[in-house]
Amino acid sequence: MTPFWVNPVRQLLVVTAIAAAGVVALAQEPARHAMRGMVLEVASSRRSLVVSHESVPGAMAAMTMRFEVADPRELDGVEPGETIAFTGVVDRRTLRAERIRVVPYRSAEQDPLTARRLTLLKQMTARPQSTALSVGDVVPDFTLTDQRHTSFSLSQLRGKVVALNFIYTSCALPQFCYRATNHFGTLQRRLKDRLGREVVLLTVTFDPVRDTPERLAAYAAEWHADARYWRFLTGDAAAVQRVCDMFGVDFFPDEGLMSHSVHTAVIDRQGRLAANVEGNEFTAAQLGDLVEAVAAR
Amino acid sequence: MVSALSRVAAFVAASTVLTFASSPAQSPSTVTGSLSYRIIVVDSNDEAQQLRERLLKGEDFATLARSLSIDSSAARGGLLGPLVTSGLRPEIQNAIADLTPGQISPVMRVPTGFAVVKAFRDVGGEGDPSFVSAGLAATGSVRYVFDVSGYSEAILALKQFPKPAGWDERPLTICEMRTQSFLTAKASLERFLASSESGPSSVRTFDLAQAYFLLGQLNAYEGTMQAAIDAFQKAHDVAVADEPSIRLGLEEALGIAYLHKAELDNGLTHTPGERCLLGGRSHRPLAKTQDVSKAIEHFMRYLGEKPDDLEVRWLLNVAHMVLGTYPREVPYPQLIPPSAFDSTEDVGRFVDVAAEAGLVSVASAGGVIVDDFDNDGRLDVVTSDFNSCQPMRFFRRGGNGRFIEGAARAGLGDQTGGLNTLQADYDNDGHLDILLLRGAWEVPQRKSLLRNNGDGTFTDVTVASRLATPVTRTQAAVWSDVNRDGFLDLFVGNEDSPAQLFLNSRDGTFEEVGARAGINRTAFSKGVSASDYDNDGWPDLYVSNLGGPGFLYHNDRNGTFTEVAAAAGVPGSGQGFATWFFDYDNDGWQDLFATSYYTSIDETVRTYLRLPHNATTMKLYRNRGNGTFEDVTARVGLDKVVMPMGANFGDIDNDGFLDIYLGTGNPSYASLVPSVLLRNRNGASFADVTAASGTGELHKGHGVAFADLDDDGDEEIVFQVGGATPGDSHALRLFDNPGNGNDWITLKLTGVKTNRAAIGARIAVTVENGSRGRRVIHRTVTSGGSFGASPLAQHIGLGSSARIVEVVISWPDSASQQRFVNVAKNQRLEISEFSTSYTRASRRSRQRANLER
Repeated sequence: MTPFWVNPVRQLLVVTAIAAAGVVALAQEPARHAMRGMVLEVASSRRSLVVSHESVPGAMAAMTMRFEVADPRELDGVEPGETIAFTGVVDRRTLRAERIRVVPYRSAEQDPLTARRLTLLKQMTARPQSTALSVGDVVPDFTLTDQRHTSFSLSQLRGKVVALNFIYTSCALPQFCYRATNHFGTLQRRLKDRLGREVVLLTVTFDPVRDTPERLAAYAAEWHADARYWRFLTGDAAAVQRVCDMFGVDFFPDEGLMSHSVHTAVIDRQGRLAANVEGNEFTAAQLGDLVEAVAAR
Repeated sequence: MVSALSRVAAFVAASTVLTFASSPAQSPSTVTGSLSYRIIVVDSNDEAQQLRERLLKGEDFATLARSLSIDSSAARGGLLGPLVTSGLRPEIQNAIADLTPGQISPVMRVPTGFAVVKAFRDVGGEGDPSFVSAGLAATGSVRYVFDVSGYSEAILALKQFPKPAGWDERPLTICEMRTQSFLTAKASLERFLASSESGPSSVRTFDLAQAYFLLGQLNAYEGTMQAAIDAFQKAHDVAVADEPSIRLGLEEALGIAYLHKAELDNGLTHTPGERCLLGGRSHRPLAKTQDVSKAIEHFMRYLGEKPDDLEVRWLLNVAHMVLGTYPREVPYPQLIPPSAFDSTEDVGRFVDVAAEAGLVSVASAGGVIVDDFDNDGRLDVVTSDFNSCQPMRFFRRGGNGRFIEGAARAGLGDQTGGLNTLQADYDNDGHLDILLLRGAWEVPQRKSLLRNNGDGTFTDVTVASRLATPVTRTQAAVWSDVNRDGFLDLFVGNEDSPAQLFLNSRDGTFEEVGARAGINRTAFSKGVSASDYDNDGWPDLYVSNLGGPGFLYHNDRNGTFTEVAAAAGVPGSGQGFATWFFDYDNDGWQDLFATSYYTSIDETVRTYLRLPHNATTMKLYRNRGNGTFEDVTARVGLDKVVMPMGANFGDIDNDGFLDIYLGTGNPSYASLVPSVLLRNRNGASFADVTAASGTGELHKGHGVAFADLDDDGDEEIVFQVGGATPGDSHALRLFDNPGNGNDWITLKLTGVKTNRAAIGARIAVTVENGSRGRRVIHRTVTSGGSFGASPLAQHIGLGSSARIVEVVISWPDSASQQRFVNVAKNQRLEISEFSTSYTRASRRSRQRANLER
């Protein structure tokens, strides 16, 4: 488990949690907690999974832990990047997850609701079109232009873990694009020793007409993005559309703004899609844990 | 643990300069003098509470910020620096309001996580007060209007639909594609729903609710509101059973749909009369009240769960206005009292006389031109209709004074669609031509240049004049002779494609030189205006952009322009729509007005309730006369957010100071907010006279023109009202000016060396008003603002007991001046460039009487 705990904050929290678990261990009956978290890894044996979970008030801080799973069928349809709700069973020796349910991203906020609705309509009216990649698929190469006007291809990054998100800089609602970018800003600091060597961040705009390399560079400046390792990418409309389609990113112009879906993807060292996280509800720490988990494979 | 909130509540010794809690709407620059702030943001509330405990025990804020904060300020120890606090999210403003140096705020939720802030004495003036990160900025808290209209859905259907090449260059094909694409999408949706209803379905309940909502939207688009309500109700039922998180939104949708149905079924949109006007005087009972009552039920249910929602609270008040039970039956906590709209001044009551005048036009959103297209001395009215299948209307005044529609006979019957339109005599033949702009908000389409043949007909010369391609999305254009060769050039602002400058080749064609001239920036441009702001004799350009700063292009007098908006101090609201140059204070320098288009009922209601805004307000920039402008918005009382679209200026009370009328709204059927009439008080401030004047139309306001349509010496307001969808069309309004005791003069200028329509010519009228001394009233010949076109002949109010001392006309191309003394007031004059005399305008006998029949 330790490979995931490189962040000092997370280490601190783990110490607290072990202390809390110690108290539990003295009790006779195993403690059962309603828990929720992001799946980082599903064991190939399908007998365990690693979850970056939220805190359990009075019992456990937020942290990354491996849980045993009694019945492999509990893990049907469970993939890295997904949020699950489950019962965490803690006793002296083991941590076990039971009653695992995938929690789909279903925001009741107006913007993602509109995007979801328009996506439905698009699917109903579309000619046959490419569908989004599934976890495990090799991500086809693409070429876009970064904030320094450098042409850039995904294939240059084979052997590295790639985290990828989608934004537009005119985004009016900071809980979406701004939050996504800020998560990458946090990731840049957390992973600074590994950035470039092992991990690269890509932020793709779906508003290429307005988001020129200059505008992206100005946007990136708030996070002091190192353009070598955190590339903000734009390109012609068709190229951008193709990349967005790969990851299920939909966007619809709306009175100068966009209704859009929100996706953050992680690609493994072999160039395969490791996770495609929808929505804005996960934390910066969970995203960091996910990227590190993929890097540790 | 003592709760964070009660700790802070104990901190009552507030000694800061922060005044936002009680400040009027958006005090513009509350910089926190000696206080500075640091922030830490972490992922969860738990972490934030733990962190706060550590800080309270004395751990160093900057050190913890560096190691723990996920905010972009972490690297500088969380330093925010001195702040313009009114620019921050309201929850942050509230949390730091009473902080004294050394104090730590309670934990607050921000878009990136959970935050605590500490105040401290600013020793070194660290940080940049102008920088507020988008994650903490107030604008990120704007509550945008809930959409019920199906407009986005219809545009998506059009984009998805296979279309033949060149479809966007033929107006009638555009109509066909819109119709077919919509019907195809609706059929697909109905098939989808039928299959999920007929048996076991794999469709998740969330998507099923969404699909019903879609069906409701498509019906709302067409205006089949009962079907829309039925579909929203099905979505609501699914939500109640399985998806509680989206139920409340559907409650609002149902309320909006019922309200819209009531408007349609009671004729409030097609024969509105005095109804749906803020403070309206109509007490005619509504014929069908049942649907309004249903709307009120849904809004009340919503407010039972979310009583602080200003949007639904507003809609509840509107529903009672429609029902005739406002204010007395609005429950007290939800009442927005009539006093919120009180006018402090009386300009008389304007009355809608469109029907009596024969100006009967029920249309979607669109533009309006009022001018004399047949040179008979009487003003005509031209409107466009955003609906791609509906043609322009062309109203000429008949012998009995009533207007008669004759677009088809004038050859304009197949000019369908187009959100904006404006006039100019581009070929200097003495007959005003029409430009029709299409594609705004939608997909690129062709514009139309319609040459006036001088015989009552127009010819579409778009292709021959080389304006047909490339197709763009536009509603923003201005005619101006930028190279001073005596022929009008055309500057066009586009949405998401480069702006264009079409130089007039003087042979009926144009050459696009945007790149060469340096004006071809790409932005989401919604308004353009031209004027010589630095009085160097050369017209300059302003571009108002949605989602970004405006551009001010200074004319370098050599065919190129330099963008100087930042240096000149005219960034605009950042959410720009209509704009114009005018001289609001009559100092001889053109000032700049730029609207702010946040599509938010919440922000609009904040204006009336005098609550602080999250959105940026409209802007008025006073010309300092040295190439720069001063933001006087707050000083003149224009620090308002009212959702303006069509807008223009004129002088409603003939006092010589230009007033403003703003049409408001957006496609959503919820967007029922009053249009706004602002009276200019002697160039010092603007007073809201909407309610008293009876001009507060709640429906969607587009093209606005000021013109003396009934030749009685005061300006009417001609107002194209209507929404973006076929289900939201509305009758044109003609607000008749009740008159005033002031004097006036109307000057129609004809250029000889200068372009014949005299656009850009300057007028200075020196008047004496009784014993109150002399003053100069300044005007520039234009059709006014960027969304609506007033006559090029300038109607100039002179104030009371006026004596005209002199009239000076300055002609840009000849750089010549004419000076006329002892001109009689209250008359219409025609003045030609170089002429030593003027003539009284007479109403010429109609040359083409055959067109009247």
